[in-house]
Amino acid sequence: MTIDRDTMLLLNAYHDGELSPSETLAMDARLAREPELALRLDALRSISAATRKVLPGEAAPDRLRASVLASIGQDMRLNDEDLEVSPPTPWQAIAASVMIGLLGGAAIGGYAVHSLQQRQAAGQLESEIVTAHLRALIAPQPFDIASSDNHVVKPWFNGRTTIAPITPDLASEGFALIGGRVDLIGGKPVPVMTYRRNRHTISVTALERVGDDAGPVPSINGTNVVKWTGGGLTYIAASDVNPVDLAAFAKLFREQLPKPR
Amino acid sequence: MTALAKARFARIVLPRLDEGYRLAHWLTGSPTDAEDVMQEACLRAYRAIESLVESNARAWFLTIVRNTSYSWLERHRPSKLTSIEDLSEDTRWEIENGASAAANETPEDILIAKHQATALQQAIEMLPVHLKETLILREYHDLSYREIAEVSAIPIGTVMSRLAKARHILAMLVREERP
Repeated sequence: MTIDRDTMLLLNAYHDGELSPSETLAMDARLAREPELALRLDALRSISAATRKVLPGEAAPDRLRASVLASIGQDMRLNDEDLEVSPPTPWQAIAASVMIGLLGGAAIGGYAVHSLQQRQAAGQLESEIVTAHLRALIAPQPFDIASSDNHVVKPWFNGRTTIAPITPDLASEGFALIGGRVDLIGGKPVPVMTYRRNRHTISVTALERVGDDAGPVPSINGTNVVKWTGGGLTYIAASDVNPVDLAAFAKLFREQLPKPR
Repeated sequence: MTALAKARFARIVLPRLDEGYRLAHWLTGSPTDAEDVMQEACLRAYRAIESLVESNARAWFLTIVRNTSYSWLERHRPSKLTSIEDLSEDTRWEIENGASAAANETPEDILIAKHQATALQQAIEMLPVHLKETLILREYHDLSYREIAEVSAIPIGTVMSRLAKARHILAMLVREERP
């Protein structure tokens, strides 16, 4: 007698403790009167037990933890000072300080962290802006106020931030204004305009003018960044749209800026 | 909100690195590939962690590792994704089930001695990746059928048939290995 497929499925579920109480009773009864089925169950149990011995395999190498922390370190590093307010339990505080310790440890010898530090010096603001942009993307909406009307978006920033950017709608050029939000960059609330290009979101952050340099910035974790200045402000755009489109967007935006006298 | 992300990452993901790595290792079949997958999976987890509703964080993280493993395999090792399930399921089952029933196995046939652990390990490595996935989530991660269904995005019925099939193939392969 061969055992049919459904019975084998039931037998597996029985072994895994996944049958309902009544199904379990029914299977107990069958096992008692069908010796072949009982043999199958024994076989199943031994292969399962043997598999459990083999499956753990090798543990993760120690360096995995350090390299994972280094790769997300860019995000983590930004607001280490926030940590003091956050941990409600000593447990989390310990875990968090272990993380910082590991990051610190990796920094001594680790190339990854070395390059991070260089980037930190070169573009801490850009990193923060990219982080805020990515965070906005995982939220249900990348903006707090939805509007394609610059006369709505611009006044919305009043009282929320002291920076008054221009908020041009470039829909006719393929970059539609979709809304605005306020991000915390360098510990200060700053206005961010969001634009849509095909299916991509572009976040334009306005800051009090920092330096005169403009142009493309090296991409950060695959997010392209470009910045320009005008009207006493520095604008930094971050998006996964391709660099050519992003540069075109920056050019259009700059043309809307008030001309210096 | 970064403080929240950090605290959650430390509490939810870091303690599960090893567990995730072992799943990625089995699915990709290589320790270095598994490290790559884990890098990517952790970054994905970190970016999504603020929006996580913490009902089953473990299944959530394993799902990310599982999905990252598959997209990684698609990009770098597409040949490993050819699946036994491309064959008709019933045909496959009959072949396997018929063959083993004829062999009339006893528990002694299946009892795995120490020197057979290697054979079993090789047998697991030879399993099609979908079967391997279900087997590992059950026998190593000890997830319930419902949790496996959630992580692998398949119906519970498929969990049951994959698991039965995987164990069955292992039993056969190991028996063939015996002298």
